Amino acid sequence: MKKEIKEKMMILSSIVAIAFSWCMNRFLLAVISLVTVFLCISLCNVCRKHESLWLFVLSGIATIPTNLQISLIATEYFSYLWGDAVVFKLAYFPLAYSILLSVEEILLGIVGRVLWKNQEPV
Amino acid sequence: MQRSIDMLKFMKVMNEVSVMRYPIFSNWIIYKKIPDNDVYVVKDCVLKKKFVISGEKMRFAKKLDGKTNPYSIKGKRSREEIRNLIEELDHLGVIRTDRGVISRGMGGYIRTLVRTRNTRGKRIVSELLNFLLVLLFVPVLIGGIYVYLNADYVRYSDLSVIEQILHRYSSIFIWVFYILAVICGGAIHELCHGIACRAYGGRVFEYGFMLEVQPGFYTLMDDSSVKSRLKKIQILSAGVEGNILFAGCLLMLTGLFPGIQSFMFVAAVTNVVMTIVNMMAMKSTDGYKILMLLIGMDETEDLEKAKDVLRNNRKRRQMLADDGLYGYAKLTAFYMIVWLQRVFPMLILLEVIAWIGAFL
Repeated sequence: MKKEIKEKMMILSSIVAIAFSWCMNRFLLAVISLVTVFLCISLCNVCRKHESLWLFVLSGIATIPTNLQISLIATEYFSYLWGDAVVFKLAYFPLAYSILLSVEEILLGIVGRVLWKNQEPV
Repeated sequence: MQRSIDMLKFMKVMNEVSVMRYPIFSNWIIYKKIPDNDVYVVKDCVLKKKFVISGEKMRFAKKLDGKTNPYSIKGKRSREEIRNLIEELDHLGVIRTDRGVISRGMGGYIRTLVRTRNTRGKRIVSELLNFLLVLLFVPVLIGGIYVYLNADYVRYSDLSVIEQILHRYSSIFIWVFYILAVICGGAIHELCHGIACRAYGGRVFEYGFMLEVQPGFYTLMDDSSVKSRLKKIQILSAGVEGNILFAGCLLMLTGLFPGIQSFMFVAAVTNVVMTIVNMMAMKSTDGYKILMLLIGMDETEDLEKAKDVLRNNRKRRQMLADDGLYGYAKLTAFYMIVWLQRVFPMLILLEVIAWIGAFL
């Protein structure tokens, strides 16, 4: 039981660290926190053989503050380019967010696959 | 004059390659004769099915090259028997009777443009091109951006007459450059998939054009012999790498012809947008396929499973009860994947609005 709680805490700590660092507007710290996600995946037993799945989930959650902030900036830029009607703005935001999320997940996923070669299918 | 004759020759060859007057032996069929028996084991690389066919039928099918009238092939068969044999071979997929145009229902069509063979020479060339693609796509884009930003200081070619014409009818030529960029970008995208697939030992069967909700190009290939996951990812991402390389080349051309900088910029941005849209994790894009490959999920089955699990509370609870923390991770991944699919209608909406806005 204790071991399970320890693992849960480890998984949560990486998410909290990256979210906190971005909210505190520390870009470099956010990058370092991203490394902690990799570290926690390699240390937790529950992640073993399914590292890519955990990387997808953890980095997806951990990058929420980053992506929200960048998406807001992108929305303003899109509005400047293609019009700033409210309907457009409602469409720009999820679009920018999903572009960011997809690209991040793919790049991190490739790094994950290079690091952990032997994995089982989900 | 010489050029026009060459062009005519080229058109004739293309016509022979793409338009089949008579049935043709499918080039995505691999066959092997069983020793001591007059039968062949046939593998359909597209539909991924295997079957056995008699030697007599196989010999007849192999004679069909699109130019030979099947009824003129010597043998003891009557016209009726030949008709039945063609129907049977077509049903099995050993031959094609579609003349290069296939209807996909709901008004969708695909059209064969080039049928290719997988030779050793082509594989070596593909390996080289794939290596250059991986090596150059980022430096060329960076170089292109640099040249675009410093276009006035880089070499200048005097194209004043052409520039005057282009700028006089700029609203028309912007559209011309946009459409050309979409067509060339699409063609390069598919060609790069083919090159990467062949470089890693896969088979490429044909390149073609498809007319569906959005018109585009396609590559028919079989990468099942490629076992490495990272190589498969490179095959999938070769298309966007090609688009980035093309965008970089267009931006570099702005240094050579600064007068038509704005037109080249439109064409380059179009290719970058194509890259971004292709990397989004929506069903049927390269980004989605890469992501599913990275996570270790099946691109069709697991999406349906995810939708089914999210609709059904009992299944969700069962999954969590069975797998604990791993179940939570799986469920969250399902939510994320299904959420990413929701963006597709918004993208279509924005595209329609952009097109209407451009015409108004």
